[in-house]
Amino acid sequence: MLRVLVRKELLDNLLNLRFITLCVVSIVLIFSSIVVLTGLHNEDVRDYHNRLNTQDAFIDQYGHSNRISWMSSLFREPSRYRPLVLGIDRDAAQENFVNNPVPALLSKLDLVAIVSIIMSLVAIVLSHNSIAGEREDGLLKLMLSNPVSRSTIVLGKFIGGVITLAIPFSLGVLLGLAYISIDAEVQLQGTDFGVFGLLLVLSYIYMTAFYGLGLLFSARSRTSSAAVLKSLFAWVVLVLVLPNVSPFLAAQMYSIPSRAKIDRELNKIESDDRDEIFRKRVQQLFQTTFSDLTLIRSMTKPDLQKKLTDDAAFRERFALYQKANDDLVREVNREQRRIADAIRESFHNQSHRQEVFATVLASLSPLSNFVFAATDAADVGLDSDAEWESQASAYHRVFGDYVELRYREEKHKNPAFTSNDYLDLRARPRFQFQQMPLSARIERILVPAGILMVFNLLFFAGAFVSFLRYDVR
Amino acid sequence: MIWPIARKEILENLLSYRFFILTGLLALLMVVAVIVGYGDFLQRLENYEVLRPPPNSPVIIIEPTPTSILAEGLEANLTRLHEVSFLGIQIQRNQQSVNRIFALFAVPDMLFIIKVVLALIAVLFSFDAIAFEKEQGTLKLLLSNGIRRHSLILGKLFGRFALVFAPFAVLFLLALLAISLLPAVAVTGTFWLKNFITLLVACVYTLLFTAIGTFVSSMVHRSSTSMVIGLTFWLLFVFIIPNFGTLLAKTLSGVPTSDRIEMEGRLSTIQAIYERIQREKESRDGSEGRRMIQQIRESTLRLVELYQPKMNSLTRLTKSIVRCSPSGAMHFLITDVASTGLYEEARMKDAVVQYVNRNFGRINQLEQGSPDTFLYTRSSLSEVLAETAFIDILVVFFYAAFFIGAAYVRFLVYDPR
Repeated sequence: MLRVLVRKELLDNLLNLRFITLCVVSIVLIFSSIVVLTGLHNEDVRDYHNRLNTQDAFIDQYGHSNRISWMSSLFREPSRYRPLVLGIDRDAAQENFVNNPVPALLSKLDLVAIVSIIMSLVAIVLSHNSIAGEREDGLLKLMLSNPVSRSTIVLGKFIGGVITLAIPFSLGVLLGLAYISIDAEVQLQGTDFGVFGLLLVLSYIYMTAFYGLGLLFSARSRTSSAAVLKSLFAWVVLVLVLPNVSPFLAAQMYSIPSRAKIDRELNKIESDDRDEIFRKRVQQLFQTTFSDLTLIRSMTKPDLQKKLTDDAAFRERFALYQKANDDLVREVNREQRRIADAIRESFHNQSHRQEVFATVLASLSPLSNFVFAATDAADVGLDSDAEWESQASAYHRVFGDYVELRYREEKHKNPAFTSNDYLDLRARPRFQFQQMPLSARIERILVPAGILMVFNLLFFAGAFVSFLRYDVR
Repeated sequence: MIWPIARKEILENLLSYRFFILTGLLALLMVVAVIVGYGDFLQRLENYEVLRPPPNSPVIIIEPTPTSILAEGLEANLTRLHEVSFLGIQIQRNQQSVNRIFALFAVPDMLFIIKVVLALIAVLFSFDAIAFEKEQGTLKLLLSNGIRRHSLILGKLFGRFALVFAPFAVLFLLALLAISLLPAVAVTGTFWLKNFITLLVACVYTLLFTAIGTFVSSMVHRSSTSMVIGLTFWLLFVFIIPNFGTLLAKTLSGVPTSDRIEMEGRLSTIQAIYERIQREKESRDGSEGRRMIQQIRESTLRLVELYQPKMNSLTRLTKSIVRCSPSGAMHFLITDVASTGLYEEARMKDAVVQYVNRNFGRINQLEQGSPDTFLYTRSSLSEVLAETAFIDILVVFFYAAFFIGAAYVRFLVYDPR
């Protein structure tokens, strides 16, 4: 019996104009979004390689230990899933002065946005009249006069409707994926298909939840127009209100200092305070160990040069002083960096806690769970961002140590070597971002996907119970 | 005869469920929009207070504007910190928000509510205007009562339009009042004037989407079909055309990405520094530093000057393509009026480049004296209207007129049986 009902729902939907329009629209929308984003992605990838190669060639040719930080920024390779999932969009070009402002103004529409905002709306549009509408037409009375149980009817409607929804969506996505796979610049690997599969499954679960929601309100309304409005209201709350309010609420309940303030404080510790402390220590040095050298502070440069060439004992003493001075610079730098690192760490921990809090609040909405799961599956989500930051700062330390080591080696070979001389860094360690393996990603998305399933069950159970008690007259 | 029909439409719907739910929905969204917009505004204000430079220093940051609470637009880009040195213009990384979750969701500001939600509500309020009466058989009854078709269609159109727009207008004004009472917002006359224009545009925009719904409703004979077709128009105008237009413009114009320019600039800068160091080993008369700075100035600033017009032409092309959609035109219009749009962005960049050209010598001690303080006032309303916004107004009005006409003509030949 269930099969007959599912078939009836399917045929009902497939043969009308509504379905055909829906099909065309979702295919056009999804396909166009994938084409647009693939184009932008290819451009980003070219830019990324250009940036990387330019910088590499640069260090090889012009490396010197002074100002090395200007030419050793790390760039993140654009994720290969960007045609589908933009995730936390770290658009490197947005930090340039000459940039194209249009993408920042008209937000880009990726598959995640299409599914989470538009397809959920489509699901409601499809399901809102499946019970209330049939009551209005009198079909429901007719159907129940046959020996069919109510649970079979509601199950049949649910399954038939979900399949109707899945067909145009899958067609659009498959066409898009076909476009990606024939695009010469994107080379797909085995794991990519795993990720695409995950994204599809997550999208189905999410859309099904909204189909269930529409069915629930349809079974709780007398007319289909009342049903569509109730579900629309729920849609606005779940899709637009909850996810956006949660970070704000989290920031209200767990407030942390602003980034600008912290940056200013760090800057003070690492430059103004440092210089002040350094001055004081040098003063001390002259008062204690090098009290005999106090007079050099008032000497002019030519006088000092003259004394250095004339007086051998003084020269030796001066070299000692210079060494002590150098040690002092390094020591003060180290101390201040330690203080600054502690502040950085505590700020980092605070903002992390705030973020976790916001994530938990946002989990009340299916949209947030879907977005978290989809971005994590493509490894462009919050965790992946944190991972990138930590790997990048680890590399910066390694690279800094390497530059210092090379500098000392050169200095050892040639005492006249300065930080402004060419330093051969061609054997430097290279940065390679280690992405999380697919299995670990699947593990991470289990929680949001599980919550999505709970929403699914809740909405469907609600629809089921409401329909059992529905007055069909 | 139009008025009785409109009155009937309003009364019929005013008491309905639909009206209450949609009003509640708009109210809820507006509360969220004001809360989130104000939160962002406060954060930018705090940033501005912390980073604001002392006078005569080559640092550029402009004050956030309270109109950005309603239409955020490019405000995040506009209020960034620009530092000017011999390296050119450097932008500090976006300080906007610590909370990265914001980056994952689309923030629903007032512009979003108008562009996406209000348009959707207008379609949902009008898709059944004709087709449903036909399904019920009441259309035949109505027409047998000596009501002229043209008054029936216009009455329906304006009645339903009023039902959507009236609650929106009331809520919008309440939201404005709430914003003007917030502590950090200094409200001026322009603020009200700008938002009055936004309200006016929202009015025409609502009328436009009501007309689309009515037009579709008088095309087909079943209300469920008309709903889907109405939603298709909504998707096309609100999402598909603006989204596709961006790429189309980029492909057509062939402007290289800004990244390439930035990289080239950096390359020539470090090269200049390196050459200076090499040359200073031979002679040390202090002229090398000046030469280096001149060299950097010529290479980096010229790149900006050459590239910026190209970027501007790309923006213009994108604008023309996206204007094929009334929603796109309205997006440009409202952000431009709120001084957070593309026009303001280009204007501010021009001002920065001019400032740098004027002061480069003084900033880098090539000339005597200290640099000017960067002063910038956002564009005035009349300037925006004259320079760019009138085209967008024309586009929105044209579409509104077109769909009203189409609905009218369609209904005159409609078969009510």
